[in-house]
Amino acid sequence: MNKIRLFVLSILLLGLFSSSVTVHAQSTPYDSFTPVAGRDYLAQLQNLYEPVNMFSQHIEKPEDIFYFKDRLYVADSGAQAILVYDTKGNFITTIGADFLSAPMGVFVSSDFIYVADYQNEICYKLSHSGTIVQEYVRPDTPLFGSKEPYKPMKVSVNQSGDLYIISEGSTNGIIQINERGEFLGYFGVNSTSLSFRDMMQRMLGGQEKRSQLFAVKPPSPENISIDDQGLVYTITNNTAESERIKKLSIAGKNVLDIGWAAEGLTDITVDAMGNMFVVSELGILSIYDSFGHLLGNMMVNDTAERLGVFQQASGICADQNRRLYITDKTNATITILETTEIANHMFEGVSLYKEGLYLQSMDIWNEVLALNVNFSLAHQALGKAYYKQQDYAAARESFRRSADIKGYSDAFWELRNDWLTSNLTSLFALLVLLLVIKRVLRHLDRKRGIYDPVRRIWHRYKATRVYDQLRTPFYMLRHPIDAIEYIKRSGKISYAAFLSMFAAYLISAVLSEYVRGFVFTGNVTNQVNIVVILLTTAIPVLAFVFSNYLVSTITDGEGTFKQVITGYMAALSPIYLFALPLSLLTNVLTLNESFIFQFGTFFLTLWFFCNLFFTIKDIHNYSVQETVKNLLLTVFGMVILLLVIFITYVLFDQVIQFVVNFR
Amino acid sequence: MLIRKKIITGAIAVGLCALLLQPVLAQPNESLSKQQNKRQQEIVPAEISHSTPDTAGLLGLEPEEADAYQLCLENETLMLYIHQQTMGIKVVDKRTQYVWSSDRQFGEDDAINSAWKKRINSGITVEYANAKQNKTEYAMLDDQNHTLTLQQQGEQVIATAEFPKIDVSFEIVFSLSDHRLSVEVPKDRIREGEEFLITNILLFPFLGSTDQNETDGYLVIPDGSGAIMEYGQQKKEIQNPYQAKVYGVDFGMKDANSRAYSLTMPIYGIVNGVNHNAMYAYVNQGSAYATLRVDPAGVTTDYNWATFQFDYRQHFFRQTANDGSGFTDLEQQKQAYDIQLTYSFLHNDDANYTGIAHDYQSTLVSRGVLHKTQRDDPSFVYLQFLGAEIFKRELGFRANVYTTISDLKEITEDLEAQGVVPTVEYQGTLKGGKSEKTDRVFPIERQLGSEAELKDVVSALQDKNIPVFLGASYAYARLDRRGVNKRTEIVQRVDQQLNVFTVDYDRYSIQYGALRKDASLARFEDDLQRFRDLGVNVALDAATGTQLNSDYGSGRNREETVAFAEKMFAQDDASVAYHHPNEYMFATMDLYLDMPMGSSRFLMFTQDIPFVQTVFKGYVDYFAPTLNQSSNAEYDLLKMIEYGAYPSYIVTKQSPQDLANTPSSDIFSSQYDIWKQRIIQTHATVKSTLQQVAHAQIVDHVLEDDLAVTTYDNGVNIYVNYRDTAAQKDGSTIQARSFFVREGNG
Repeated sequence: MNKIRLFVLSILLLGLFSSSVTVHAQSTPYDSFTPVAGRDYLAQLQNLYEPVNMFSQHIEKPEDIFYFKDRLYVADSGAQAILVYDTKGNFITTIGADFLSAPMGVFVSSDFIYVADYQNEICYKLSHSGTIVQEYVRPDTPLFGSKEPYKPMKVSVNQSGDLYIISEGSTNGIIQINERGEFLGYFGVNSTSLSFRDMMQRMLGGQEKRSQLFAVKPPSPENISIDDQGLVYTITNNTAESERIKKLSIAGKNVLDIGWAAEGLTDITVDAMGNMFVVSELGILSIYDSFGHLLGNMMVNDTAERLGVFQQASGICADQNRRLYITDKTNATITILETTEIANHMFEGVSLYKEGLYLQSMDIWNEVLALNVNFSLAHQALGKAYYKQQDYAAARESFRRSADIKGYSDAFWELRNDWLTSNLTSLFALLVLLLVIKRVLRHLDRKRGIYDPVRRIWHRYKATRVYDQLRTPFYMLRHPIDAIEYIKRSGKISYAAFLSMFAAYLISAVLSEYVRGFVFTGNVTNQVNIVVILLTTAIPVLAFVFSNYLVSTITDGEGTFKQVITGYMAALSPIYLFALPLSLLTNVLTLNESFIFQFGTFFLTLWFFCNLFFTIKDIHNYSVQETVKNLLLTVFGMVILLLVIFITYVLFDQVIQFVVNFR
Repeated sequence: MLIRKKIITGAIAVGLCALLLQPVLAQPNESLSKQQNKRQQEIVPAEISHSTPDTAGLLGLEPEEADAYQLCLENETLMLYIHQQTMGIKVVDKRTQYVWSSDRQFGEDDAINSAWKKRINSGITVEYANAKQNKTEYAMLDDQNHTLTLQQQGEQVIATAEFPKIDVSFEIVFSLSDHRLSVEVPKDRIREGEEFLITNILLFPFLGSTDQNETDGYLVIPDGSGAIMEYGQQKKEIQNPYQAKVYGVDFGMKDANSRAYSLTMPIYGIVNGVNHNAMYAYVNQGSAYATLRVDPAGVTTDYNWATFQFDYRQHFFRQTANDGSGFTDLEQQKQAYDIQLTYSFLHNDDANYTGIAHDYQSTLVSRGVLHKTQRDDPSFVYLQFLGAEIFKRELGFRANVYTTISDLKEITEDLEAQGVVPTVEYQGTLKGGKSEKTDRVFPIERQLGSEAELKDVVSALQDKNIPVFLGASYAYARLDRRGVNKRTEIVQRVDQQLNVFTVDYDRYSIQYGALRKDASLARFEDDLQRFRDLGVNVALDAATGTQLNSDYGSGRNREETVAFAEKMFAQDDASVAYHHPNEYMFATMDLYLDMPMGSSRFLMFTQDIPFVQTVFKGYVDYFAPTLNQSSNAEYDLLKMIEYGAYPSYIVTKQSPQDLANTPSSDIFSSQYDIWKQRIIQTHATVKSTLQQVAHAQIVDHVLEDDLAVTTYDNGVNIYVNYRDTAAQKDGSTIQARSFFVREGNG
């Protein structure tokens, strides 16, 4: 998904061309995208939401917003109060203006209003009229930790009245306090991650840095939400993409696998169906279904003071019609967004999909696809519906388009099964027929020598130099030791042998990638990147050979460069002779038989390594120990070689840039 | 009311005496050129029409304040008073006695600093930069160091504003005709010294400005379809003025692209008292260097004001290294262009946005820019067919076919059988696909059919009253394809770099360069004969219709580029359709495509209005943006009915699923089988409604509480109800999210 991020970033940075030359000006300052399953790019999408209005009365610095029963509760640290509005933005009342100092988070239940006050270091439980019912102050149990800060930023409450509090810098996780104010423990702590760069820096740094090597604190969550079932949702910044949005089970385990998440997230809200709405500071609004599928992404593409542009989005909430309310801390505004036609269809479809009502959702998903042919989830849902209807061919196509390998494999299994049952007899008949023909031909050959002309041609060919060059890989398959001896001693091998094997290797690499079955690639487009394959296959071979030759010359290896290079290519022969048939075979395999492919690949690789080991050993006339040493040195040499090439490239690039700029 | 009315009778005599004593003839400036001196000597001493005894009363000023104003020009409708020091003007509309002032009388409690007071009252504000530093400063006509001389010459008054401190002078020529005041700044009358460089000027920025809640009224901004900014709704979240270059960004100046609608009309309006007094400013000349600036009360001052800023030199970022570092530089050469700005004053029933649109319409008609191009039997739907588009293969590209020539014929005939008579555009006909080259139309991709076949289809359809357009674009060239001379055909920016940019796709990227207008013209002329041979009309894409770049390679500035663009279709009789064109393209336009159906919704705008639609309704048929990409088709259809626009669609025979990774990624729903029923239904709705006003003009438009009423000159009223509940209006019930047509009386 890295490319998607790059793509998104480039759009954000350029703000210039949405991928077509002409900039389509719009009343709505958003670019909307939906991920295309199995491809490395995003497809354009109609807006799922459109801003319809904005209000700002009495708002100074809104930090958080909560919707409850036709009322919007806004925690405003500038106004030092909770401001209450109706869903049209009409001001209704103020709560807690006389005691709140810096309300940062608000949560409303049918009985109470909960407010996280950063400055007072208290979480308040208020009645709906605004009187204090209870104050949750810093827990004094040793379990909480004596030095842990208690600076409440956000609060959520489950149905039994337990509070989940995010405190500033609470790296231990979410503070869980029960209704009576007793500290229950930390919940859903984030995992730590140390980047390679950080690790290098700390390892190479001084004593002080080294002592911090593994003293990394997990990032503290940014915001929190809770759904009707009591599942807690958190967002966290400065962490891996898949960790940014979490849905925590009762045990505190993350049950989501988010493919893509924006940076700088500020708030999350969850609707009754478990759909998640996440907003980032820059105003990227991402909508996920309850499984964590990214449905759509809306990105603000303008900085002008237009309706729908955010300077610093801080909070989001959704009402029962999924209308969204997004607060902007800098502008001191709240923008109201409404669902669009495609979004209404989409949410309806997602609800049915979630409940497994695939057949009932077919019309809806077809409507979605009519509006946008690239909507992956619709294809997946339709695939499941077709599968239920036993229309396996249609299901297979829909699963292919949604890159649902499992679904595809299942549909294909059914199709293959149908084919086999209806064709098994004819297959057997064909097999028997072939055997009979073979027998008859052999019999005729013995009697009348009908194969003689072929034999003559074969013998003539065997005497040519071409045969000498081309036979090596096949020789290697059957008699590896003899083949190595042949390479080393016969004197018949030339660079032509290397070239033919190298070409076979490259062609096989490209073709086997190309013909591999969908189940084993998930490649929707049926396209392969030839250049990348060529580079990734050719460079390691050449680097190895070169490095091995250099290493061997200083470690008493006997082999010449020609011998090393042909020997290496001969060792590779199982791969380039059998990878292609194996790839072809994957077209009739399903996930159930994937072990065939995996074992085949493993076996071929093992075969190659054995070949390589003996090739190096015999060509250089090494002992086993020397061979191992040589191989390790060769790998080391390869790394150094590539590093040198890379550095040279970088330096030359600098020089070229300098000359170009100098002009 | 705008001006405090305090009349002190004793002041009359004082005012009269003071005026008589005024030195009326300008001292010839020695530093002016000989020619200028000569011209000045010929000038007859200005016959100053001495102000009538009640000048002060008329202008609503204290007598001592009124002394400074001189009645310079007068006709049946207007009187022009000019302040003798600051060049502030007061225009009296004789029909209503309403005074339009460019300056203000400040009370003691006005919270405004003296610098702003000067800027408000000065008729001209010159922004200049020190030649050594790039810091800019302002020069105003205040009482120190600067001199203003007024001379009458026939029907004109020439004001010479001199700023000796910065060695700069301007001549401003005033004239009146009917209800219009024209202000000109001739380019050869601008003098500047060595040390200080003029960057831009503002003329009468506060003409018609209002105190935040002085009056009911609004500003009219032609952003998108048009928008108004009503007074008295000050919003604290608005912190910056609206600023937009007329005709959009200039890539020659490295302008960052904006995603708001670009301004296609050099105009803004001020309504001070709806149906009482209105004025609008229109740039006849120099529009390509005009920037519209709108400041709501509370942003810079406590007044609502709007003005055009005219740029002579612009700042740009000069990059000096690849890492993006560099410095802000100033253009050395001053752009040479004449400014002609016309203020038109409207009253009573014309004093609203519809009135402004109509008066502007008549201006365009009299300039020969706007013609009636409507057919007697117009099409109510516009279909854009996509022929072929590029598709990335393992190596290289292939043309993916979406609609062949015979598909196009089949679909059109299928629709015709259902009663839909569309106008048809065929784009992406180029060999290799639409984006194979972005500056060529021919040769035609073979998989689509032959040119002969296309010719037959075109004539067959046009016989059935179905006009056929061929989609063309001449704005950009692909630099990774042959046939472009970078050095002579691509726009060179102010920093001497070529205006090129790369768009990345999955596994490939495309490098584009913006074509110079002469290169665009040459390409168009190459294709012209083939268009004629095919008997086909031409539809130009949005980039060709809107982009206006200055080019520092050929040294052609933006104003000169306009002249080139005007030529593009001038010599041809084929019908031309433009996507969202700029004003200079109107003269050759037969159909207006992609007409905005709303504004860019800047926070300061309080309501969208059909300003552009009012200008064109009854003259040119216009179509809304394609409905395929619409987020809310129901709402968009209502909007079209309110605004009198016809729908358009993008249509393909094949599924557009392979377009996501191409430059046509904005097409994600277009397959005919899916859209057929929608096209037929929408067409039926639009035709049955808008047929009655197909040749009528909009004379009134009201939008209140999500209920819109558009009134046409044939008496037809169209009511559109956007609410979720039924509405009552003028004795009729309009269903929720629906519309109602009331026939005219005669």
